Amino acid sequence: MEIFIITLVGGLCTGVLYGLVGLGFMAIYNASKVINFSQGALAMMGGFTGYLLVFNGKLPAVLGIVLVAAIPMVCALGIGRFLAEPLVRRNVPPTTIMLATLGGALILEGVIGLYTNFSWFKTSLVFGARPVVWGMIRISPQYAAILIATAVLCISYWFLLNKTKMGLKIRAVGTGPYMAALLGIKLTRMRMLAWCISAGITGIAGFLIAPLMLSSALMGLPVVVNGFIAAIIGGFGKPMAAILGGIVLGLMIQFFTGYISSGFGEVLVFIALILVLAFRPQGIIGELE
Amino acid sequence: MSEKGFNYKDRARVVVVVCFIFLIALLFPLFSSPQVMNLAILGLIGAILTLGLNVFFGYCGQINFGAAGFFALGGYGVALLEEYLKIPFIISLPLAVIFSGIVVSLVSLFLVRLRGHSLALGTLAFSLAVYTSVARGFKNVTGGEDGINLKPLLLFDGSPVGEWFFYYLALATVVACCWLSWTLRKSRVGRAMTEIAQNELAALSFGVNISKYLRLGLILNSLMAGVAGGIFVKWIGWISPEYFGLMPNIIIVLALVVGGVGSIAGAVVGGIFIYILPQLMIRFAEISVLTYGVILCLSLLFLPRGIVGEIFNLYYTHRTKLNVSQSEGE
Amino acid sequence: MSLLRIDSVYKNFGGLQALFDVSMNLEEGSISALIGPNGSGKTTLFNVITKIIPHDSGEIFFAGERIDQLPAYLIPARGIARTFQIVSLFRESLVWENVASGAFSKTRAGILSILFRIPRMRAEERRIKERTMEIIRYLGIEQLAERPAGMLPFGQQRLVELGRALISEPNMVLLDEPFSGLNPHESEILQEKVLEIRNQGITVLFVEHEMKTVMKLADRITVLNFGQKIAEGSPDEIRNNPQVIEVYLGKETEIV
Repeated sequence: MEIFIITLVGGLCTGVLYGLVGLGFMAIYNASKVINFSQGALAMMGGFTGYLLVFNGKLPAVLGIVLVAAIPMVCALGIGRFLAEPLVRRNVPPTTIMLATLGGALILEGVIGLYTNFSWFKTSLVFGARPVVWGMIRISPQYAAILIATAVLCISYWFLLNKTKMGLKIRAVGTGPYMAALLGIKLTRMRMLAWCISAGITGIAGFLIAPLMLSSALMGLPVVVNGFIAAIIGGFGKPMAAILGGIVLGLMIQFFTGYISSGFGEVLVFIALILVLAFRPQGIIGELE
Repeated sequence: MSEKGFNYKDRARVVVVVCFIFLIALLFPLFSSPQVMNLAILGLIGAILTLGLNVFFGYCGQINFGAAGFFALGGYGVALLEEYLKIPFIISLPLAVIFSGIVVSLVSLFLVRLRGHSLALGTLAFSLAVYTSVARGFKNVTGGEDGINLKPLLLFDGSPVGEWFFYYLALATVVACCWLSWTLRKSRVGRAMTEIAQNELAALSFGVNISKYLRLGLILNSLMAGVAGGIFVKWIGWISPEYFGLMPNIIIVLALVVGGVGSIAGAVVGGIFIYILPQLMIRFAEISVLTYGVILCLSLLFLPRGIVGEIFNLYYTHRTKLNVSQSEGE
Repeated sequence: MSLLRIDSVYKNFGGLQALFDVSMNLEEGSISALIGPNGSGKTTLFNVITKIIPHDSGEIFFAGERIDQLPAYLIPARGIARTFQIVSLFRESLVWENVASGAFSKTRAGILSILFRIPRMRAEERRIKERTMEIIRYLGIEQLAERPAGMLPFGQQRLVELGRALISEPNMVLLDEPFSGLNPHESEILQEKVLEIRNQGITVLFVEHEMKTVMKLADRITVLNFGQKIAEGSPDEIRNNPQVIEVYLGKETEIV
């Protein structure tokens, strides 16, 4: 039973990480129609910033959190502004823009890798090791923090996008760029805002999961693949659905690798992707176009 | 008089240049040291890989992030056949290629329901699945991360085959793949593929079964990548998952982008360049990821048609200007 | 003899009824026009006939055979070719390659016969090239044959599209607003071509807004409004049909 709980919580937590990456990914796609392959690298930047400042630099966690969100934002701005936007303006095919974000991801990972020698970030648990007890369930405070943070981030994102004027403008730019431009909304500025929000969320997610996963400079790509799949499973086009999809994916992987076999986790992921795309391409709560 | 496109003068020039290059390639081993030969072989293998990708990415217009997975199928095919069934290279190579083709033929049934980014993602997921299966899942069979050693290829008298053999084998394969790509491109099937890339709806409206031709493109990609894999592992004498991980997939795409997507010469140039690069710089391993990222970004931003594509473009523009000024002078 | 028979076709797009109980009958060798205000379902009907989009219910017969269950890529082989409202050429391919692409459904060379350079395949490829140049000469765009199609002026792009549709020797061509965007001179040339096509035995169904052209060319006119057929008949009948007049004039007063 103990193992079950651990697997469940572990799956839940890795799942919401993928979900948050997927959310950020979908946020950028909705705003600018760009498939951002550097989303995982942004998570890695969050993890790395945390590793550098909080675990090694002994910075207080509160300040650390701010930087953990801010540094990925800067990176996202760089990639969005100097790689994606110029290509979007040139009307290149979407595959090219996708490759450009991949290039951005490689640059980020390359720089960090150079600094860390591509070895694992040594992190420790931020919130201590005393398990939080809740009825029959005892979980490590890191897991609790992850779940709480995810909830907070999701609610904040939802609020930002749906209840603020800024969010309205971002949605306008995403759904009707010509109209938005006619209304005087600055397209690039709003898109970059979306990139920043996405990067902040993803960075924090990366920071939170770093102690639990083997994190290194190169973790970005597998993470973005799983984040993308989480978004598809949940429902492509809906950022919130990515959290749901991520949970499904995380639980699936954790239970499979835990109970059945640890060598074929990625095969499961691949099969899951194919099944979803073949039989329910709109995901769990998405809608067919 | 056509303004863009070949006329007989261009055709003659191309033939001359190609023959010249081919002659150099044939005589190359005569004045090269073993180290240079090794570089050349690796470069040629890279060219084969990139040519394979060109059929899918260059003609059909879809990105394949799983080319290294196909490479792995060919490589492990050869290695496992030799290790467990003692099959000699001359037989195991074609078998491994067929194996690669069959696997992809099945997997592609599902993959081609996807397009664009979903397809790119699907191929990447496939490649990761292959990688982890080989590295962890089937560890007992494939030797996992430690890999498998292959015996060196021997001549009849028992002495090991020299690098010249692998060089000419790789060269012959490059030539064959170039010929295959060129014939394909000029044919009805090749036209159908490029039509899919340009306007799916119109292609469909004029009889092109899109799934079928995307599958064909993927299978051709896997056949070429499979050969590259087979030759590679026999030459290196060793196989391990590190050659087929995430980065190798990206590197193949990068090679084609740098050389010129859709161009056979571009695929060869890009493939050779990208695969020789690591050998040219000492301590390359550390900065490799960063270098690849920078090269990719610079290519996309400043050389959208790739090295070869931009050169051709300059040539055509120059010639069009000449034509215009000539006809104005008349 | 009836060539195309459309029986009670319905198509709904997430709440919008694009086609409602549409039935039509096209006589072989005729030139028919499909007219109606914007959004009345004309292009949707074309897309349903060619199976680009699935329909909800109803049946479509071509030359006596049921075609509405076929996948889109098998329609051209039955003898139906089309042009598009928004020019849909393969912009990077050369003009001759665009025209040749229309022959795809009637040719057979597969990957193996191509790789082994079987004589039959090479003969077929030669035949394709010959026929392509025939069509290109017929349309008067010979000097453009080696240009990338995307670089052509609009009017000539429309001709290339027509060439692509004609090369497969179809039994019927569907022309979606072929005259839109053409100047009067280009329009006249195209009108002649349409008549010549019909005289070669090809049945024509075209969508058009310009009433003068419609009245001049069409043997029979079908009028759609909001996805429903509201009238059908000879040009004279349609010209005097009160419902049709209301649909068109009523719209104009709204705009004014």
